[in-house]
Amino acid sequence: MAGNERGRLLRLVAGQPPRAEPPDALAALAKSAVAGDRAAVRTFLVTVGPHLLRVVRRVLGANHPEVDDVAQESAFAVMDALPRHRGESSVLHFVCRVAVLTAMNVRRRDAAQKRYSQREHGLEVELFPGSSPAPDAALSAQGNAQIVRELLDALPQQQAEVLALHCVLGYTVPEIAESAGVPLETVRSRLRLAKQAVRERVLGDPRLGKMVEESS
Amino acid sequence: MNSERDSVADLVVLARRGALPASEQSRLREALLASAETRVLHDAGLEFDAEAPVLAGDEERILRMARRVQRGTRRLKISPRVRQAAQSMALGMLIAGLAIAAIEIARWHPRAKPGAASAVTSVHAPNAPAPNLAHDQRLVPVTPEPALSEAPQNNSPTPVGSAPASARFADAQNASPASKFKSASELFADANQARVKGDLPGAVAISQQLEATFPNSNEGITTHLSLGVLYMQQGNPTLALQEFKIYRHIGSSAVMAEALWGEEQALQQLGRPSEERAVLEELLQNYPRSAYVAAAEKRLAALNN
Repeated sequence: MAGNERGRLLRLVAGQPPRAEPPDALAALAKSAVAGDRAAVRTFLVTVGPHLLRVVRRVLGANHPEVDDVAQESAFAVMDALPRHRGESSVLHFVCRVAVLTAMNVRRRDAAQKRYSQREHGLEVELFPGSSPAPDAALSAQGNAQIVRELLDALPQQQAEVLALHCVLGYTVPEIAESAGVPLETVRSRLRLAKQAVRERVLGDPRLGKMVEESS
Repeated sequence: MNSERDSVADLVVLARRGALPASEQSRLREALLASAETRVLHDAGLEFDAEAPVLAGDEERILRMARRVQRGTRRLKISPRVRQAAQSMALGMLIAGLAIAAIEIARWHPRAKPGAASAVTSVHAPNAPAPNLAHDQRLVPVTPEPALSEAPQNNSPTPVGSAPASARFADAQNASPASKFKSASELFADANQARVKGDLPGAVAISQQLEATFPNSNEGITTHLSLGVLYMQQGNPTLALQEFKIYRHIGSSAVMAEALWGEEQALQQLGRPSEERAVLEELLQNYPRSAYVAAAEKRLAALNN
C-alpha cells in the first residue's frame, strides 16, 4: 500500500513517470544498530543526529533552553523504539516522528506546568494589563510558525502529531499515514480537524486575521 | 472530495519542496486565496523551512549525543526549581566550609589563644594572657633560663619583669588605652617616644603590646631588640636575654651585632661566662667590623685571663 500511495503522490509532478521505490539507505545501518553493533549505533546516531536536532528545534523553537536535552532524549527514544520499526515507513521518517513526539511531549508538559502554576498562584496574565504588548503577542506577531507551535500544545495529541508532521516537517498525507502507521482516511480526518482549529484560532484573533489578510 | 483535500495539502508540501509543477501553481494560488488556514499553514511551513538547518556546535552536540547513548547514560532532567535549590545548597555548603577552614586556620596560628576565633580578636581582649613563646615555631630550642629567684637580681625600682605576663599585658592596655587600635609603626613610635622621655615602664608596656599584636611585622621583630635593651636598662637581664635570643633567630642581620652584644651584656650580668665567651667569639667572627669589636675583644681577653 505504501508503494501505491507514494506513486500517487509522485503523479502530481508533471512529466515524471512513476518509478521504483528507492532503497532505504538507513535500513541496513539501523538493522546493524539494533543487532548491537556499537560502530553501527554510533554511525546511525551521527547520521540521524542532524535530523533530530532540526526536528526538535522546529517544534520547540531554536532558542528553547531544552533543545539539547530533548534531542538527547529523542536519541534514546529512537534507539529504544528502533527494534519495533517494521519498515512501514523509511527509517528517517520513523526517526523524525519519534523526535516530533518527544519534543511535543515536552511542549505539552511545559504548557501544563504553566497552567498549573497560574492556577496554583492565582495569577492570570489579564490581571496585569500593561501598555506594551504581551510577550506572547509579540512572539506571535513574528510569524505563523509560532501559531502552529502554540496549536501543537492545545490540540489533542493525535491531531497535533498530524499537524506537526504536515506543517513542521512538510510531509504529505500519504507520508504521514506511513509514518504514523494509520489509514489515509484517519490522517485526512485529523488534518481536517487541525486545520479547523487553525481557522478558529485565526478568526478568533482579530490581530491574526488582519495579519493573514495582509500577507495575502 | 478527499482526493481534492489531499491535493491541496500535498500541493502545499510540494511547493515547499520546490517540486510543484507550473501547471499546478495556479491551483495552489487559488487554494491559498480561498482558505485562511491553508495560507497560515503554507506560510508557517515556509518559515520552518527557512530556519537554519545546522547551527554552530551541532557536530559536537551530535557526537556527545552518540557517546551518551552508547554509554547508556541519560542526562538528568532536573526542573529549574530543583536545580536552583541544589545550587543554593551547594553555595551554603561552600560558605560553611570556608568558615570552618578559617576557624581551623585561626586555631593553628601559633599566637592564637585557646577559645579565640582569631589572633585579631586578641587585640580587643582586655585580659588576654601574654603569648606563650615556648610554642613559637620560629624559635629553636634553647637552654632553659634559671629561675628568677636563682638569677642575680639588681634592685630595680620598677620590677616589671617579675610581674606575671598577663598583668604586664594588662598594664600595657591600661597604660595606653588609646593605642589599642594603633598600627605597628605607631606603636613602635610611641615606645621610642616613651623611652626617650625616660618612661621605661611605659616603653616596655607598649613594646609588649606591639609584640603581642603584630608579632610578624618588621616593627614587632625589631621590638625584641629594643625591648631587650629596655629590660637591661631596667636591670632585668633574664628577660633581656630572652628577647635578644629571639631576635637572633628571627631578626635582620643588619643589627645582629647589636643583639649579640646585648646578649653578652645580659649573660655577663647573669654570671654565665662560658656562654658569654661563646657569644663574644661569634660576634668577633661574624661581625669583625662592628662597633662592638674593641669592647668585645677586651671583654674576651678579660674572660680568658
